[in-house]
Amino acid sequence: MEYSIEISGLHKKYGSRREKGANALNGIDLKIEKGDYVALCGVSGSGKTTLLNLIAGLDVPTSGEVRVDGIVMNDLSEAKKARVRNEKIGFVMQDFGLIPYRTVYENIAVPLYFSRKKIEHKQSIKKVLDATGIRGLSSKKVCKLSGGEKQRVAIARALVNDPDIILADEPTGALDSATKQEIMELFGKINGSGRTIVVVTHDKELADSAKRILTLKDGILK
Amino acid sequence: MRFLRKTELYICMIYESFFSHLLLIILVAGMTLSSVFVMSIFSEYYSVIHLAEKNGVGDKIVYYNSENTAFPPDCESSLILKNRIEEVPGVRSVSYFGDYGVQFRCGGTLQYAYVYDYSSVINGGFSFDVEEGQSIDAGSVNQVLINQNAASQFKAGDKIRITLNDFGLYHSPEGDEYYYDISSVGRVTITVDIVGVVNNDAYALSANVRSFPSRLDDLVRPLSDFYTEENEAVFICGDLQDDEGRTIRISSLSNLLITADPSCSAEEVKENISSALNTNGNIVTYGEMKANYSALNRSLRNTSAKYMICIFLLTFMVYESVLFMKFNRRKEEVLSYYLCGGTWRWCILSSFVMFVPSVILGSLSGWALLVRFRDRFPYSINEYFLQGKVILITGLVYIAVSFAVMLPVFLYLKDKSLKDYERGE
Repeated sequence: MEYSIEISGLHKKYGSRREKGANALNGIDLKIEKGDYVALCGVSGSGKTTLLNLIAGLDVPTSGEVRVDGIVMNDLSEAKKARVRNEKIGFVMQDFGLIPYRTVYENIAVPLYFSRKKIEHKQSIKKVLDATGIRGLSSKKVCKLSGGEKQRVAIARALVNDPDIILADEPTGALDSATKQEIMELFGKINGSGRTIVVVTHDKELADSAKRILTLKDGILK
Repeated sequence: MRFLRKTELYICMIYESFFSHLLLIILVAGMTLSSVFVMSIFSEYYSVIHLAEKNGVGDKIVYYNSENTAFPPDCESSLILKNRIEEVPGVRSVSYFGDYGVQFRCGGTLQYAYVYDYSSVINGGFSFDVEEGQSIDAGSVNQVLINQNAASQFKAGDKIRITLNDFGLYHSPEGDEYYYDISSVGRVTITVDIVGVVNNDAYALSANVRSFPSRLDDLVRPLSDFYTEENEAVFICGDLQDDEGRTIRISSLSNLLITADPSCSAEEVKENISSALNTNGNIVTYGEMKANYSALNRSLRNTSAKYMICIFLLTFMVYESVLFMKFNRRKEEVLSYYLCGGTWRWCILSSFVMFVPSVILGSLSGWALLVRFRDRFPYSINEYFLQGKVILITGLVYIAVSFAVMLPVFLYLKDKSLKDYERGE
């Protein structure tokens, strides 16, 4: 069995006085197979986003281990983590995380600037523009787009470097139901192409579209 | 390939903050102008002092200038004044310092040159290099040395006819010498022999004082400094005689450079001249001039330094604010880079690095302005600012300032993760 993500004994404690050393994650053990589609659910503050950030190497665990495609993220330097994020992970956020004053094309191109893969820029961008159905928006500035269009751009950006894993944090949180449906279908298609998807969501409908639903409560996986 | 991709990204970043960059370019250009201005003053001051003192005559020079005052009693002309001063105890030599224009024909066209009295150079105790095997004595008649500019038109051995002009020529009371006065105009054409080319006139000092010497380099400066801009020819001559064998004195109306006997100090000679001529107007020793010059430079330097500090502080504050503001404004952009494979350190540094071209462009603009408008600066900033050491010092100042500006911002941001920063912690 090949795993995209392996997590063992993962703890995350926020050490600031303000939070009085609150435990965000309390010993998470999790294995996600290649090509899996997992929905992480739970109430606010249950540690969903923290877990996602730890998987992506955006945050450092207090203890425990995170493996992405067999690579132990804890041991990596900042530069190597950044490289893993660039090559193996595509990130989609609720508030899109796009550069509003740049065009769709320029936003999608960002991962390619940091990539060491030999990828033809124009071809790859064209491919993901087609895959996400936003080819006609290529030269539009992101700030001029609707929420659904922005999320498609974010997904296209996540896909452009051809990563194995897509991490999505509340990807439908800011969308109306019709658009939500489209995004869900898009995730289904992406998963169908063999990519692993981990999606953090409050949305039952989105969670139901995943192959597995995991629930976090008080930093523990139920 | 990766370099090109990153460059593309930087260009995009620069384009988006165009006005910040423009502001920075203007400020850095201002900083360049002011810093080079101050450094030029330093440089000019030390080089002039050094040059005069290198010749070992500084403490033996007395300068007399009567341009703006009447001649002392019994001295109705500068020639008589010169003769009177030569008789004063303790005086070793008296030299007229001045140049006068000459015209000559070359290739069918009328051209201009400036003539210096070689004797003044020699009497002043200064020296210069003459092309191999060539020299002239103070008493040489109608022999001239030419500078490098003139060497493109003439060679040693040429005989040329020159017309002395722009001044009146009169018989002196003794009847065997000319002297000139500003009230009349006359001219005389004579034949001169070119006997050599001055290779390096950097140490051939001359004087060219138009008013009381508030600046040392008005009195003594390399000949080459005078006419390099116009690329003019300069002739340095011994005695000149007209076709009838009468000596023509190259005498500035009022500027005399007097050297003292080895046994006598410049101050004593000054006292002696004052009592002999019954005047103390405009007689000044080299030491006094140096002190005046120092005082003037000090005040000029202080004024410039104040402006420079203001510009530096302004640049510093604007630079710092721009960095912080841009970083805050670029939070979404930085987040995007971070998620897509940029390291946190790269995200911070890119915010600084994108200003590097503006700093370079600003400094180049400052230099270009300085070169273009150097004549318009007070106290004529000279060519010293083009010297390597000034460029080097300016460069080091920029590096130091840029480093000082970036370091606190970098240290502040470095220890925060993107998540901390987003949360406003």
